[in-house]
Amino acid sequence: MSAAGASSGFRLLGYLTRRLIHVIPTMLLIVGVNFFLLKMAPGDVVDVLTGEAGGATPEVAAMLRQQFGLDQPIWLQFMKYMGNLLTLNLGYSVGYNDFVTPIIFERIPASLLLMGASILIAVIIGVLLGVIAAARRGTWVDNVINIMAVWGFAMPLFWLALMLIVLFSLTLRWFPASGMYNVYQNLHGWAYVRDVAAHMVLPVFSLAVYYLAIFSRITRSAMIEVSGQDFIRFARAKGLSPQRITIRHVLRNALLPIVTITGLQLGAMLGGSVVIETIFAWPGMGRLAFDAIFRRDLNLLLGILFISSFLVIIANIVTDLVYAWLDPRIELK
Amino acid sequence: MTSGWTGFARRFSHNSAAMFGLVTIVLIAMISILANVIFPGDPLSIAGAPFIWPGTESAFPLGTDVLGRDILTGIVHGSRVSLIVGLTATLFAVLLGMTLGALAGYFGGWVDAAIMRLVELFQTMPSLIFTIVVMVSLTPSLPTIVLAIGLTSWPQVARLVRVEVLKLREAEFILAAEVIGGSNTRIILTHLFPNVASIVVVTASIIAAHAILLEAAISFLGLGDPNMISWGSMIGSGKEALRSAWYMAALPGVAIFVTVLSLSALGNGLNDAVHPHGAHK
Repeated sequence: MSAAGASSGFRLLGYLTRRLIHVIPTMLLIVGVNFFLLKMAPGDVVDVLTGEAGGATPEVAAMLRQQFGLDQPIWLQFMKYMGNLLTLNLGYSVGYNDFVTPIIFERIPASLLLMGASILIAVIIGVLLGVIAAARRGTWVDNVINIMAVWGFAMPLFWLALMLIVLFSLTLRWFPASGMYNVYQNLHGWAYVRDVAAHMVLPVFSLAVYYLAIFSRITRSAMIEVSGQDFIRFARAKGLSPQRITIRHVLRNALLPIVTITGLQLGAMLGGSVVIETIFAWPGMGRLAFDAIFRRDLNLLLGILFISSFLVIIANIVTDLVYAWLDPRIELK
Repeated sequence: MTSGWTGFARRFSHNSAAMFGLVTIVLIAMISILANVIFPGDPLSIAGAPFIWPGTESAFPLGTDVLGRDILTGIVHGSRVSLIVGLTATLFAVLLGMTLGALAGYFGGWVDAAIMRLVELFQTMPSLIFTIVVMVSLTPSLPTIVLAIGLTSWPQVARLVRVEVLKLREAEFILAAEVIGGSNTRIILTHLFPNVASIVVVTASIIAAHAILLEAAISFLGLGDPNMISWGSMIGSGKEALRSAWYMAALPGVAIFVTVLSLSALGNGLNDAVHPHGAHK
């Protein structure tokens, strides 16, 4: 038993190593393409700095460029950037006066909290609605859920966020519309948790609606497809209760496509969180990206693209692992 | 099964949601083409007093914004950006995706490996963040946003076409075309493309809906072409007056919603008409 456990542990380690080696060229390409793209951008960080200072002589500007290494040929800058990347150093952010890597890592937890809560809400409500729609197929309940899902697809999430702010924040004053916690009160313990939760309601819901729509549709069609299969008929013939069949047999199989879609959609969700974090002044990586654009902090922007692409890759690997765990017939290759 | 085209048209025209989508899209397209005839003048110029609520003055049925620009004129002219981006970005993505997908599936080997590496590249980068990088790097204009959205959308088409071509590659009619000496280009263009067209059309309507939403988000963030009015930029400027005049952000959003809703209804209808056996699911 322990030997088998050890060997499957090795297999997993081998699998993870192979996957990570496979993504290295992709990550290098991402950095390369975007590095040269951003070098084409009009104006660099020195322009922003001297602009903020009310202009500077060409000599001062040249000195600053020399200091930041911007006077060197582009290929040399690129080699330097790649060299630094080996030690996870994503360069220096002049706008924040700090290294890019720690700035981004400081923002990741807030983004993960926002996205994790959105996925959780979307899965719970989406699966529930999908199960109900499948059970009441063809009735008005099914139609209402269907219409809600179609609307959820078509709604621009930033617009939904603004409308939710108008209704629940400005008019009803139920939830705050800005920030992650109340900066004027120094809250601790449960009061702090409650405060953060209240700040999360609107951004989480705005981000979740689109995925909620997808999940309810997928669950519905997977439930209908699975329930027609032989092993379900067998379970029914065995005399299992309908609830037990729905939960243990049908739902478990219907969850597989949900896992796949969640993994595939993480990139889109990272993009969505740029917009949502900007609207709600949420202190995450998306808001940081927005700030980086307007400060012309291109190093920071490139770092954010790199880290978020890496998160997508991690999510894909985790998806495959969860998939293999849910469906033992799938073998990790 | 009824022969191709007539069966498809019959199934499509009996789908009321799909017909609603088609009619609405045609209407919106006509409005955007005739924008200068219905509402002549620059939609970005000031037309009256600011902060006029919808329905209060007959000269401004949908009111005016923070600067006093007419909102109805803005929505009518703004439809152009949405439709142009939706149409051209989709066309770009479909052409690029079909070409690369067919090459990958047809030739296999290192061609396939290289193209799939590109697919992976664009599917790994979060599309909105990559679009932002492109908009920041090049000048914020309509062609730039079309390029950026097209670049992030083609992998979907390429993957689909590749799989179909792999299936068709060994089909008898392809082998026959090879035997009688058809060139690779000719086989791909005249034998493979017509067979994948129906699936691509369905994907295209989804890409167009996605492109319109992406363009709106970019313009909303203030990264679009500053000289062109778009629904996204109208919502962005309306955001500043959310407390006192929420209608400024609400109305252009309804326009986006209706357009994307029609496109996805159209896409669903096409899908059901193309795959009649999947329709009852």
